[in-house]
Amino acid sequence: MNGLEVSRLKKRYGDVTVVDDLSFHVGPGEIFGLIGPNGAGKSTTMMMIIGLLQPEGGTISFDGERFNPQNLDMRSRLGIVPQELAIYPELTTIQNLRFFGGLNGIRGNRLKERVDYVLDLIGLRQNADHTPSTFSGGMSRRLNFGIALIHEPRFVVLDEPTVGIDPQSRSSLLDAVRQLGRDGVGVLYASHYMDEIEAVCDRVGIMDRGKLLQIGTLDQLLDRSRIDLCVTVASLPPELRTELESIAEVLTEPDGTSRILVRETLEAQKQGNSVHLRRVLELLERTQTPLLGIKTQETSLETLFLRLTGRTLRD
Amino acid sequence: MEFWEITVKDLRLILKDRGALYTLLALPVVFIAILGVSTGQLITTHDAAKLVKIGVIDEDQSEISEHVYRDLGAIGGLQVSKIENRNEAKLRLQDGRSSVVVILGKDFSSRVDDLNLSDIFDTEHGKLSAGLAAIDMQVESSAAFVGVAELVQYVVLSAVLRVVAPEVAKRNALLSRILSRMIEQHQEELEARGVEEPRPVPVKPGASIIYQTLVPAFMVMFAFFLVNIMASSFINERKLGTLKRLQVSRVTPVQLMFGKTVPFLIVSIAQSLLLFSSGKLMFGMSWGTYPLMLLPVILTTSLSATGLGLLLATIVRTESQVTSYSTFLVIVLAGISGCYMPRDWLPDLMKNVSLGTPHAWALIAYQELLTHEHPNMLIVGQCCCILAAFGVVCFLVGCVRFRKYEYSR
Repeated sequence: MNGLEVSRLKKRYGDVTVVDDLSFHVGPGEIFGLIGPNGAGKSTTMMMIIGLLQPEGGTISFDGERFNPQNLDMRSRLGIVPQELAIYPELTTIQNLRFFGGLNGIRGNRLKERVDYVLDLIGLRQNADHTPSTFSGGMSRRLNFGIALIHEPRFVVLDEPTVGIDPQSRSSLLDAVRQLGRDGVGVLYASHYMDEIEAVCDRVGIMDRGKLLQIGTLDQLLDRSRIDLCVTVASLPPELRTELESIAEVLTEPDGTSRILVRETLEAQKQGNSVHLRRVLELLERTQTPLLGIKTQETSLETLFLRLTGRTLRD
Repeated sequence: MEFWEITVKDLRLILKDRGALYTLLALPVVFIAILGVSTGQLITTHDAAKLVKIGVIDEDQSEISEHVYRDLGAIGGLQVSKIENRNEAKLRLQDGRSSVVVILGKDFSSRVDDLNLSDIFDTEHGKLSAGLAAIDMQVESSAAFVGVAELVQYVVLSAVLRVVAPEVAKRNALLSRILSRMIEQHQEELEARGVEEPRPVPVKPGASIIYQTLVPAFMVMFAFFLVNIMASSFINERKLGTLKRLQVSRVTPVQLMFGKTVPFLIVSIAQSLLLFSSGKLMFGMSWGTYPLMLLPVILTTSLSATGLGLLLATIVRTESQVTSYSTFLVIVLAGISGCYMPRDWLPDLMKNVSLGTPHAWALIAYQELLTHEHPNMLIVGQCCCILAAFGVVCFLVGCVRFRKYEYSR
């Protein structure tokens, strides 16, 4: 199979299993988003994919070939954009690009062509001879991204590539990521920004506690868990609340009001079989509970993510 | 040749890091220069500052005391000047204007008159057995010259005897005639040969031997300053996240280590050459009989320093660890090995202990080449081999550690 194939990957630190039986596939030209709360195992997974951590079980393959970190040719198919700014602040943009190009065996005219291509892609041509110490956060992030592409990798791993940058640089970077996909480069994109994942990823995997909780295209994930209706009521008697919680999610707001989130699948809604919604409305009518508002709520990746991983704070 | 990319990059970074450059290149030169200035060897460059400053109080004010004063001034290595009285002498000894003071007392000439020929020829049993005091002379020295005061006494006594002996001899009628005849004959011979009577020429003291030891000692110590900068370079790569990029590139762990070692090796060699050049220009130190043989010692010393630096880089994880470990390596090992003082001053136990440090082997090799007219090349070769082996072993252990802890944990 072409692209990246991760199969039954496992990793433990002492007694703690940080990656547990993880499997997914990223095809050529596909942008795969990996999201999860802190400590979900994303970074460990990425470190194993780039060969800096040894898995305790499972396999990683590129284009059908089992990944061997000692194989330099295989290594040069990979590009990484670490979360930190992995650039030399004292070297100029062009020196940074040339250095990492040379390090990956690119020389002469090819290096010159690649440097020109990347400078245009990341929009730093005017700053080619400037050092990153004079750059804004966004410019440094773009260089950090560009370095990963200098040797024309077939697969790129991006770890939070847009942390702390302005909307313009972010938009430019996301465009560049889409361009990678169009050029046939497979991308593994990890981020906490759900809107970015929604904007650029073809498929998404939601990870927590080392396991992949959900995987699929955005439409598949969102359809499965669509929240159809949000009913706001003044207050709920305890017995009614218990009854409602068996068919919907009930949230108490700081001002004392309650929100009843009624979920229906897209399929049920289309067929007019909104069983849960009918039941909620019947209960509220029977107990004469005053309605403060009622609205349909748009389903988002963030609400899905929070529902799957919970609202408890993670360290 | 991917390692070369890392070497060029690190050389660029070192050249841009003025602080590191100053520590590696300028600081040792400045350090030795300050040392030179503080010991009075740099500004005047040569003779005057190297002379022992002797003040003479002539309380006797006789012809013979004046003769002794002139004769002392003709001795090489001494800078002789007159002092008015004993109070001034005390001040001059305290503030260092004089290292030693010679006092010719009021009775000097009368005591000389009392001397017999037997006192001159039998100094062990005659009046001079009491030393200079017998002819009303005293020698006082400053605290820094207490150790050489006795030596100066002998020098002064010999100068006095040179002046006094002919005078005493003249008092014997027979000896006086013989002496006069000998002097006349000598003058006639010189005139017949057309040669002027040779005047006594003060012996110019050569370059102080201390710099033959001092310059290489501090050079070795500063060569090991590299361990700090090397380890910091690794910490910086980790901190920036660039180490991760280097690791996933087409560079093997050994190439990566090699690429990061070579620039510091180049800097270390440049540092040593600069220090030897400065030593020659500023202190007039000699490069020994075989200057070219210094090159393998410089190379292998640098190799051992960079090897140690690389090993340290694979051990430390934080800047404060770099500081504490490298301070130990630089200061303590330099102290153990004899960088702060000539190795000959070390007790035998310390000399043996010091052989566990690369510094000691470098110092032995330099000492052999710089302070022996015919150095034993076997010793130099042995030192070079040990230094090279130390560097290579550190490099290999560093590579193993780096691979184990940074790759595929």
